[in-house]
Amino acid sequence: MTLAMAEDTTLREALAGDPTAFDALLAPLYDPGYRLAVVLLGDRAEAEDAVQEAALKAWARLGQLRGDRTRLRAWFLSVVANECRMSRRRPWWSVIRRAELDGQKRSPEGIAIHEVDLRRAIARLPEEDKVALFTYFYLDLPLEEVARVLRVPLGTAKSRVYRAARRLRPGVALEEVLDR
Amino acid sequence: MRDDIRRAFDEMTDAPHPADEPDPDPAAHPTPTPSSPAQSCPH
Repeated sequence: MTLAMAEDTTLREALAGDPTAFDALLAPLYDPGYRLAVVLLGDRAEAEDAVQEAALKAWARLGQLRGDRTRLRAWFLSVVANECRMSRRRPWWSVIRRAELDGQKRSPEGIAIHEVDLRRAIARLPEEDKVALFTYFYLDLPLEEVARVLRVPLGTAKSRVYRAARRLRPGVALEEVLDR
Repeated sequence: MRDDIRRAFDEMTDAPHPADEPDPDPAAHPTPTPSSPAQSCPH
């Protein structure tokens, strides 16, 4: 049996309600999903909760994939990003988390200044820019998948990746950003 | 630029990039399942 056939079987079993099959499908995606949530929320406990909620929603909405296993990664990451968005909209988040994040200014001692600056610059970006940078540069997703995570057309995804990169490094060339 | 951004995200998530340092013992990190929603996620 080929890997593709095995994966299709796993997806069918998950769609039929088998939680073990569902977990096997999502297992490789928990780590990137968690990292994305940490970047978006800036808090590990919140990120764990968001991924947990995203997994439950993915379980309930698995039919949205229409049986296409190749769309699973982008789809799940978009569910995680959406869950993070929902978390940040809860009334208490802006009051409590904002104060905590503002207090998390680490000492730059022993760390190259530009690295600290880059992290702070990323942290200040709009959420959709963080998702674009994280999925394209960190997860190395092809632009087509970045577009699916962002739920935008391919051209918009390209623009968003480039725009986000320019916010970090004004004047960077398009070719240097979209170099693959 | 890609390397700089990758390092920044590594720092932000307090973990090395999976491609740089694979988890030596993935079994040590249980993953959440829909049948056990109270379980925490892998970190």
